[in-house]
Amino acid sequence: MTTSTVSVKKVNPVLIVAILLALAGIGVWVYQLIVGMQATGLSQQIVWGLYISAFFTAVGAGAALLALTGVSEFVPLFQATNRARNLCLALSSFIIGAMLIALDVGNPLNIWRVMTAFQLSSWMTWDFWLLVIAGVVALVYLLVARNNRTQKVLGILGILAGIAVVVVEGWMLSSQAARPMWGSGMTVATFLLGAAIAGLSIALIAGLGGEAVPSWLKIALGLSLVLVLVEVLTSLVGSGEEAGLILTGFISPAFWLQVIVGLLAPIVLLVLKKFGWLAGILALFGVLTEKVWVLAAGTSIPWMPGPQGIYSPSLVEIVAVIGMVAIGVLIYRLLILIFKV
Amino acid sequence: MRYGIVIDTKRCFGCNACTIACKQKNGTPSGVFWNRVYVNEVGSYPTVRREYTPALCMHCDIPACVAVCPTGASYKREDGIVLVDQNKCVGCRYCMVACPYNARYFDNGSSEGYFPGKGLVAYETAQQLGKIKGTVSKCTMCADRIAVGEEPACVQTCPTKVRVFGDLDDPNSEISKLIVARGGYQIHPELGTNPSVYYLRG
Repeated sequence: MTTSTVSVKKVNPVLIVAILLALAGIGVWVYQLIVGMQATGLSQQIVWGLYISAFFTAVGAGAALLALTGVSEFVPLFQATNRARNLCLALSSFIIGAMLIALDVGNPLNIWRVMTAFQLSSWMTWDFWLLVIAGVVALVYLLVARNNRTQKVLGILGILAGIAVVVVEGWMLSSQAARPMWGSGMTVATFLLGAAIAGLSIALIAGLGGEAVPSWLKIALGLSLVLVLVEVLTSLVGSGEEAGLILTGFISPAFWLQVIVGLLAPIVLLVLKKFGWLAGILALFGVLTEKVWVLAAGTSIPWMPGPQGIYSPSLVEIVAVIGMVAIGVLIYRLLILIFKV
Repeated sequence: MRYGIVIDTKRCFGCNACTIACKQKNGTPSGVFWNRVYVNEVGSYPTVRREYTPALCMHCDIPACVAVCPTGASYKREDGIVLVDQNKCVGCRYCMVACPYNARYFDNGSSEGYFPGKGLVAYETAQQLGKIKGTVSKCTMCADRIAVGEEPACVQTCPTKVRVFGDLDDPNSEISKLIVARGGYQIHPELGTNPSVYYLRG
């Protein structure tokens, strides 16, 4: 008689939590598909909220991871052994962004029309196609980077595609004459910096930071702190209404969360060189909250007579966004398995 | 040809007949106003008065909403009327971000009727047929009425003849003459959309 030993592989608890959160996210998504966008905290005045904020954060993170992987071909940032995994993170972020857009549109069955209409007057069309290009570049780059080979050409393409996506997303807002708060030119700059923070933070959270990433993140957070203050001061120069909303109005919790939890706290953690992963989570959260207040304050005050809009994310929105992030974590693990990196 | 409307605010006394006519004609849901009358108090005691500003989609000559639409759902006809093809609308609401005139409404799926808790009456049910949830809608300048030679419902119903409908490209049309004679102005022309709705005051 022979005896056999069965080895039980320990399941990663992070994956179990991610699966549960992903299921919760899919559940509220189905609920929202049934009842419509009334499940969100959006109104007729403030029409972009947490979903679009999370979309800008996720896509910005993906674009930054792609661009910074490209930068790593020239300066020591991401270690060569981590580049493939960083590109898996970039692709996962892009997929999260795509799911968030599907969550946000009222008539998702019509999304295919964005691909076929080619309305080049719309920056949203440019955003879509640049995102597709960035995704393709990231995928090709990933296939090559698996062998830890240096790929300067793909690195340059990654830098260009990543920057182009973020610039167009910032310009999507900045080009709107009806939204003066976004028109100062600062929006594109904050989008670029926010993307860099989000990308570096995700690399740090995923344990792919290396030695240079915390330093880069620290600098980016410091710059962001300055830019945020400049942005608020710029809006004070105009009517000052938006600045009032940001500093003391309905959207001020998002602003102060960004400044204290999303900027100052991670800077302190990074200076102390403690809990780098936590600094990454807080900084990522800070980018998200910045998008929330930028979108809400920018659209809150109507040109026509009437009350200002107010917005706070509904529970459905919060659970759905967390669920999409969890799906992103699972996709990342899947990409690592598929591409064997 | 470029259809437009002139609104003589001096004649408006805020009866909202235009608002109701628009709702009856277009069956817009509760809380949705393709046409509305803004009320503003001006002056200081004891010389205070109320000013009424009827407003609708400005059917801009350079519509910001059309430029940003990624699917071509928002479009401008050759006669200047700006419309939304709900069959093409993806519900991204970029047009609402771009429009400075609060002229667009997003159908968020709410089925609340005019009688909360009582469901929809037969009229409301009939009016909602063919409308697509999760899409954007707006004033059509009653394009269907114009097609059969009638004026928009808000123009036709106004008891004090506040609104005059006509062709802005025709210098001999009544609205062109009114704009010239009484200094017609657009709301927020600095935004560069060149609205087809003009206002007369005083």
